Parts: sequence; structure tokens; C-alpha cells
Amino acid sequence: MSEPAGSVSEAAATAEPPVMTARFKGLRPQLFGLLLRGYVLLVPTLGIYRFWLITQKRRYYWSRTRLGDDALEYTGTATEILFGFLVAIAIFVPFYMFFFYIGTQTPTVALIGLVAALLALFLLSGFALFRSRRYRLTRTLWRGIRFHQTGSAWAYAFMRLGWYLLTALTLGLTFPFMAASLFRYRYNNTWYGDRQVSFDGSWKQLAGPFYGVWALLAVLVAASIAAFVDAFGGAIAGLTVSSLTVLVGLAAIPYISARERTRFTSRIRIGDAPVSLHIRARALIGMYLVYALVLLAVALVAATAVAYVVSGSFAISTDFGVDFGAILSAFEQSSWLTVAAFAAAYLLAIATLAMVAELFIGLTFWRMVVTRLKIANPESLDTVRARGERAPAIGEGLADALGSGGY
Amino acid sequence: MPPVAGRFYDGKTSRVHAVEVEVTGAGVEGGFVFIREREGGRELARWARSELVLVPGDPAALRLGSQLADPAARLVVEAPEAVAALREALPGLTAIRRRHRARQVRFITASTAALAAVIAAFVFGVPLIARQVVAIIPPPWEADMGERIHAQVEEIFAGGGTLARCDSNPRSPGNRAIAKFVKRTLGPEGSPFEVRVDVVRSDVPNAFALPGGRAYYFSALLETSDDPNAFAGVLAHELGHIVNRHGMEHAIATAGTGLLVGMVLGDVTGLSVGAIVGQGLVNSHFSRDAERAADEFAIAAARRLDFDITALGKVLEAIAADTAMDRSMSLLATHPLTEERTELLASADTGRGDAFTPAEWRAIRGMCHGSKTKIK
Repeated sequence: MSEPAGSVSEAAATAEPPVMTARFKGLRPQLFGLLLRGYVLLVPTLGIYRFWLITQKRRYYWSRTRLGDDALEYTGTATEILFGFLVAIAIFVPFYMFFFYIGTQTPTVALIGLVAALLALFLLSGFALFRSRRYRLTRTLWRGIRFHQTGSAWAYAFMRLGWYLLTALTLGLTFPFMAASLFRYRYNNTWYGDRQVSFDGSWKQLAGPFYGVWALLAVLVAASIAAFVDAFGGAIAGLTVSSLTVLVGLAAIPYISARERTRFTSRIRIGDAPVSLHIRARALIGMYLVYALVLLAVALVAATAVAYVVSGSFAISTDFGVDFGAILSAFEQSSWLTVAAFAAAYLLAIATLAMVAELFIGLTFWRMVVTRLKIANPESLDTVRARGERAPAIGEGLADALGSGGY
Repeated sequence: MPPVAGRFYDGKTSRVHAVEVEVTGAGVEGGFVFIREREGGRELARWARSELVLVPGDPAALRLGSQLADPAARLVVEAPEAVAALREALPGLTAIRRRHRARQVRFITASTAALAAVIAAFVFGVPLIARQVVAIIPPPWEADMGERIHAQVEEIFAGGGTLARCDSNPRSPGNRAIAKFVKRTLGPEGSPFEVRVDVVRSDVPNAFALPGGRAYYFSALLETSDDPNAFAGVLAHELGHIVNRHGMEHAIATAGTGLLVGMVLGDVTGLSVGAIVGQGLVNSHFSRDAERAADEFAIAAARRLDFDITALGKVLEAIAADTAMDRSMSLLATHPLTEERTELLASADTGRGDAFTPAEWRAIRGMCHGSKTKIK
């Protein structure tokens, strides 16, 4: 829709319809500082601080994000999500007891019970995701107007469960239908003040890229099976084709995800303001590569540190005539110390992984979406009237309990 | 203060008002913040300085609301000089921030203290409660559960098959000698369950009891000592677990502590490594008491049957002398050998005789010298 670069006339520039762009001015070192402080405070507060950390993180992302000239504001509080979590615990106690009970059953019964419980958990996580989205939308202000969400979380949860089962049964063939259906339900129920968001896309937006990749993967899988089975192919050919299959499969996920976000988001309108988004598949793949490299670097540093500490301890123990084996065994015999050391190492590892993911996937992706978002006909957004309650009064506890919290 | 430029949202419509902001009044909280349209000067809002709300977010900008206005109404000032000027004109903002912060710190402290109290209640209360709960669970239920756990154990240790019993004939001399010892050890009171001891082939020196009366004795442990009393001592210890229903007690305590750890880590399903490790942390306190009780049972049995219990301590020490790697999989992993335990066993004033006759002991020692292959 933009004029060729050669057109210099003022008139052409002003005739071009105004488009609102978005910006993100968050910086990785700032977010790192926030996360580091938060993870350290988790220890003395026995984990309670995570509700404050989530809130601060969201506040960070929201307040550094601008649509046009106005920043988003996150109005949620840590106490809301803390109370939400307490409510979620009450919901989970029966589940927990069921898990415990089936653990004592015969392997067959335990397996059936486990599958049933996992299905129920999946259903519940759909419910939690929808409710959590509602919470975040109702806690988001732009130009003093709240977003909100209508629709039923249970309807969404059942829809999601049904679609996932169907997609699993059809070996993924119904994926574009599922993606469009769930996206439509989420966005058609989204409101900015009195403006309803509408989605007029369908599975067709995703059909080309998805079925292309699906067919390619099917051919590759068939080829690698054939190469392994067939004598003429041989193991080398089989390995080559199957590693190619894995590579294509890995690249397919960000590729489809980029197409899905780009094409679906570009079919939504906020009231009368059409939204467009363009995310490149290669940018997403690059993001995952950077993430993998950073993880590798962190793992190397950690391994070096561990090796250094262990060899250092051995050196010290031989220098001073101390039997390191005896110390180790004394340490091992104190079950409290051993378990505490394991717990500390585990928590450290988990915190590091979460931080790397937040800094190199969370932040990168947020910035990518925000900087590539455009809203046409922005003046229609000047007359939006406030609507929608601040409800729910308590935060997305269930999502936290299910570990699907996110932003 | 000269008026500064800002943006104002009234919270009712999305219109952005370009405004001029003026602060009146003296002192920390007296006076008002006037918000006027830049073009035309119409007054949009007049917020009392004592009712201002400081919205947290980007520290480079100043975002204000009022407790008396629409909760979504905002005054936003972003130009650095304007932010500095307004901050200077509104010294009360620092106090607002400090009050908010102090409130949060108090809340976090109180929640942490509450959580610590809950944890303490669990750590000390759960074993007590588990004891009471076990007392009301009918033994047949426990035996039933034991059978299912037995099926799972077979799956874990024998990889889907069954554990290789050294001698599956219950009427063989070895098994009869063990049955006789079990009967004598349990004494006239007997056990709430039908006790069944299996000697199975394994390279791991271990012995353990399940809820509901089953006990396993691994061949590698049997090979470690030539002393019949070592075998008898370990067996009596495991019988102590069965009679005291420690397995069931442990299962109940685990369920309780698992819920607690889920609360702390935010993973209520208890499926993560963190939840499992955390449970271990809480449960180690509990298992120590159980080990002492089982040792005391073994000592009492040794007094009654007149055999030497110090051999049990020697078996534990012999295993402790193995490498750390092996140890982590052995008896010690579940039966931590503390000095307290060794002392208790060494100083126990029991008999000096043997638990088995030489013929019985030969039969037991010979149980695992059959032709079956060892499982790893």
C-alpha cells in the first residue's frame, strides 16, 4: 500500500492512509536485572515472591510497549494472583488425591487412571489458559480504556480438548481447522472498551504452508523408512534421510507458527481498525538458534564451574591431608544436607533455564510481534468508550498451578 | 512551577488529551494538580495532591491517577524535564512510593511467615497424623495395596518380568527356616498381615519391606556376610517395618508432603523433579524415626530369641565401606547409617547365640546357588 520510493510529492505522503505502529523499548540487561533480583528473592520467601516477579515482569513488558504514542499499562497486582493460586490449590486437592490413589493401583489400572487424569488436566489447562487471558486483558489499559474478554472458559476448554484429540487422530491433518477455530473463539471474544475484535480468517490462511510442510514431511518419513528397510538404500542413506527429516520437522514448527501468527493476526480488526502483522519464519528460527546457542554456552560454563569446584575440593583435601571421600560420605549420610544440595542445584538449574528462555525467547518474541504490528484506520480508536468489568477479582491461579502462566 | 506538558486519559473514552499540568499548594500534600486542555485551557480534572496514585511502570515516565477519580483516568508525563519538574513539585510522590513498598514488604513477610508455619506444621504434623491414619486403616486394605505395589516393584526391578526368586518352593529347607524365624520373631502377637519373605537374585545389596507384609532380601546382601545373625538381624529389622506398618505410614506422609511441596513450587501435580526432591527433603526426617523403630524391634526380637544383634550393625558397616557409587543404590540409600544407629546396635545387650542352626543356615546360604541367571 505504500508508494514507490521514487515518489517525492508531499501530497502522496499525506494521501497515504495513516497507520499506527507499535514500539517496544525494553532492553535485555534491564529485564535480566529484574529477573535476577526476583529469582534471588524467591529463596528467602520460600517461593512466595514469584507472584511479585510475574507482576513486575508484566509491568515491564507492558509499560515499555507503545501503540502509537501511548504506552500500555498493566494494572494487575501480585496479591490478586497469590489469592488466585490459593483458590487453585483447593481445586487441585481432589486431583492430587486421585493421583496418589491411582499410584497404588495395579499397573494397568494406574495407566488408565493416569491417562484419564491427564485428559482432565489438559481440559483444565484449556480452562486456565482462557481465564488467564481474561485476567491479563482486564488488567491491560491503553489510553485509559480496559480490554476485556467474553465467552466461556469451559466452552473453550472442551473445544480445545476435542480439537487436539481430533488432530492427533488425523495425524495433524485437521491442524489448520483447529488453529483457526481456537483463534476465532479467542479473538471474537476480545474487546477493547466497547469495540469488539473480529476475526474473519479461516483454515484457508494456513492451508498452503501447513499442507505443503505436511506433505514434505510425509514423503521424508516414508523415504527414511524405505531407506532403512530397503537393502539398496543402506544405513548411511537411511541416516541421512532421517536426519534431514528431523531438521525439516524442527524448522517446520517456527515456520508454521510464523505463518499462523502473521496470517491470522492480519485478519483481525479492533472495531473498525484492521490489524496487520508480519513475522518472518527466518526471524523465528533465528530466535530459537540464538536461544539454543546461549543455552549451550550456559551449560558449558556450568560444567566448567562444577569441574573446577570438584577438582578444587580434591586438591584442597589432598593438600591438607583431608580425605575427600570421607567428607563426601559424611555429606551423603546426612540426608538433609544431600537433599538440600540437590534441591539447591535443581532450583538453580530451573531458574537459569527460565531466565534464558525469558531473555532470549520471551523478550525477543515480544519485541518481534510489537515492532511488526500495524493498525490501520487508527482514528477509529479515538472514540472508544469504556466498557467491561475489572472482573475476575482474583488472578489466574489455575494457570499458575498448571505451570502455564507465561506473560 | 511553570505548567508542564502531558497527556491525559479520562478513563471514559479513548481520546487522548494534550494537557498542561499545574501544581498548586505548599507543603507535601496540600493543594491540587490542575489538568487543563492545552488548546483552550478547559479544566479536565483537578486532583487533590493528598489523593494521588503513583502508577508503577517505566521509571522514565510519570504516570498518575487519583483515588477520587475514575480508576482508569491517567495523567502521563514523559518529557525528562517535565518529569523532573513535576517530581520536584510533588515531593509527596516519594512518600507514596515508600508507603506502597512498605506495605508490599509487610505482605510478603507475612505470607512467607504463614507459609513457613504451614511447612513446619506439615513437617512435624504429617508423621504424627500419618501414624493416626494408619491406625484406622484396616489391615486387609493395606495388604491389598501392598499387592499392587508388589506388582509395580516387580516391574521396576525385573523390567516387566517377575523378580527371580532364588528358591520358589515354599517347602524347601531354606524357605522353611526363614518361615520359622519369621514366626518366632513376630512372637505370640503375630503380625496384622500374612508375612511373606522372598530371597531374590540381584547384584544390589538390599532388603526392604512393602506395606501389607511382603519383604524382599536380595542375594547380594546375603552374600556379604557369613554370619547367620547378620541375615537374621536385617530380616528382623524389615519385620519391624512390617509390624509397625511403616510402609503405609510413609505412603500417607508422602501424599501429605507432596501437596505441601506443590504449594511451595507451584506445581500441584507433583510431577516435576523439584516436587520429588522436595518430598525427599521433608520425608528424610520421617524415615529416620522409622529406622530407629525397626532397629528397636530387631533388638527386642534378638533378646527374645537369644541371638547377637551386633551383626546387623556390622552388615551396615560392611556395605558402608563400599564405594560411594554402589552405596547410593544400596541399603544405605533408604536406611541411612547414622552413628546413633551404629551405637544403638553395638551397645544392645542381646544374646550371644545364633538365630539359625548350622543346617538351617547352610540351607539359606545355598538358596541362591541354583542354576538361574542373575538379574541386574
